[in-house]
Amino acid sequence: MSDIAPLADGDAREAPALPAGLLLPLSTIGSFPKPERLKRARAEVSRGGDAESLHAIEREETSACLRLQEDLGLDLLVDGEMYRGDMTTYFAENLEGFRISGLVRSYGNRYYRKPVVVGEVRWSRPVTVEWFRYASGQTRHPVKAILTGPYTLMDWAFDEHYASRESLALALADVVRQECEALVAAGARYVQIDEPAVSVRPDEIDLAIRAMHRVTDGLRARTITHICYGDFAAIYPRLLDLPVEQFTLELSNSALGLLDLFRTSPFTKELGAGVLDVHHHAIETVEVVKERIRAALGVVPASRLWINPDCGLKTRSPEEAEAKIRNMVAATLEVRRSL
Amino acid sequence: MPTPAEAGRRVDVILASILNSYPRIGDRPAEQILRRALHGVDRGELQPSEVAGAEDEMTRMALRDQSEAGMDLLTDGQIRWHDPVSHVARGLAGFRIEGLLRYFDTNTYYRQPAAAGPIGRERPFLAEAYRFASAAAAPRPVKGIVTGPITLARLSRDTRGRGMRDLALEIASALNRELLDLEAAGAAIIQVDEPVLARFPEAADLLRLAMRRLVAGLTSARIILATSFGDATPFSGDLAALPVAMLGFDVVAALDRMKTTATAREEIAAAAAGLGTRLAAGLVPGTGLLLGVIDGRNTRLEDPGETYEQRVRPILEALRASQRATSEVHLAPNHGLEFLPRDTARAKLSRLAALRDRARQEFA
Repeated sequence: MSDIAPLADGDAREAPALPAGLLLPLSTIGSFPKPERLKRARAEVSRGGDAESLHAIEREETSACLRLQEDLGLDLLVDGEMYRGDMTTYFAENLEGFRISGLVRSYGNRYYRKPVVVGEVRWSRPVTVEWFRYASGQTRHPVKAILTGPYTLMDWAFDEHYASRESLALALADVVRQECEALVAAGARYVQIDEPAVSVRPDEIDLAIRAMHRVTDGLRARTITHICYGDFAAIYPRLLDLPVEQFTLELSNSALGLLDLFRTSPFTKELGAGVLDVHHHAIETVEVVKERIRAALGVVPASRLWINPDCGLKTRSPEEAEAKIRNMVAATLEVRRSL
Repeated sequence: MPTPAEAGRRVDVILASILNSYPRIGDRPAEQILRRALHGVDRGELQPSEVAGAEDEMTRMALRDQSEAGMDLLTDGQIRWHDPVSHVARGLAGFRIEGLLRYFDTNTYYRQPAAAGPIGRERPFLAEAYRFASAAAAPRPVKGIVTGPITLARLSRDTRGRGMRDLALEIASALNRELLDLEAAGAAIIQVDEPVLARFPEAADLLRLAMRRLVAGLTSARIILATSFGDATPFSGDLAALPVAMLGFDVVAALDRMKTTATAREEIAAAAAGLGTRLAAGLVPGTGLLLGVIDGRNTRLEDPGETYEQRVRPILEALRASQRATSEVHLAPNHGLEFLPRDTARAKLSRLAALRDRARQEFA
């Protein structure tokens, strides 16, 4: 969407926005591959090494990631999440009420330290705001702030404290809302609240929607959610009631099957179409990406279509991620010219 | 209170075992060899054959953990399985393996198989791993495990347009050859995992047909039909006539559903007793039960005394009081343990062993 709602008076700073009238804005889901030096520094800190030198590397790599996105021609940038281990543990480490467990398999050969809720969850200080400020200071492009949503934070933690999934999800919604407010105060115009877990329990879609209302109602930013790899048929079109303006969705891993679903009932919001399979080494050709974009244009008009990879790129090598994005950008520019 | 006659009736065998999977990683470097090997192959630094060595070693560790915790019946932890669906589908002919989908309500994924041609089985794909585990676990027995035809069919994509019924029956016929090979490899107990049953009870009719094909020709192996990911006890009667030696249920889920209005300990125990009575009433005499009484999805560690009083004792009492007394009970977690950190999984095993010991004292 190219026309950005004007921010109210009194905003902390004038944040950049996307150019008016821009069609098929290009963005990514959030994570970028972590360079080897960053992984090594991180491993050293876990063995008692110097946290300050890790932090310096995280900042350098964040800058490099933003420069890369600018060079590749993306429109709405992300900070690349160089400072995050993963999308739930990072938040749990920075909120009250959690402890972090031992390693648990995520999928394939990926593992993470799953959070455990052991007390009341509370927001005591901004978690991502410093990184948002830092990233925004590195570029003249707008930067999308990215948070994990309350339903997913609830679903992806072991709960040893709350009486019900509902009470934990709503408590986390208040926490995420506080982080959103802090980001908006720091100038964020675009906030993506990732909820990959909502497609998992169709019977809880109402809870996910209630929780999201607490996060986004009245928030002075464009709101986006990212959902991937689930049983969308079970929650569509109810899914569209999640109170956000844009959905960034994984289309390519499921061979564009979601588009058939969206033909059963109109997709009424902005669609961030996933045109790169991030779980595959192969680099999609420009032609393949163009076909995917054109297929997406069959279910939403160009005025509501954004272009992005299926999911975060941290699963790919830096070379693969760059090559994939390069072709995504080239394909999008070609399709733009044809519109 | 049991009558004197009932009190004299015993459950002949009470065992402790895990359901199927076990963590393939731990926090100690020695417990991360498989991760390192897979990374090495991914980067081109190691040969794929080195993954097999790491899988062997992690399998031995999984067996050792179970053995040290006093499990009576072990599994190989499914260390070699990418996921419960694609691992079996890869072993069969006729499937293509496609994109990632979430596995039930977990935050793990499976690769979705797409049925693209006639389903068959060209060569054994589970028996060699079974032999390895069996030799490494000796003298403790190992159960063979296979994901069942209903779950495979339901979680796959059918590109052939012939429908789920057709696919499930074809899979059952193909898997039958695998079960025969597992039996030949020495598996005295083979567990058929059907986690979708709790969510799609309408598949119970189809399951009857599929199970007949699946177990045809087996001469000695005893079959456990295991449900998980939800409460399948309401239709335990539908499962009663299946050609299986034991039925497995997620007791934690069953009691969670029943106790939404009950919070007092006595009420939970009463709900468990009711559950036991219902299970006993539906059982064909001689059918054993696998009871998922330890929560395999939450790090909260069960208090053995309270868990025994609330989840184990009332059910065993109800079974003892039934005229259709079961002869064999396996106490188990309600899910595979790979969803837990390894240290928590170990701690759960020790609680499971404690439950088994108390149950034996009182009922065996």
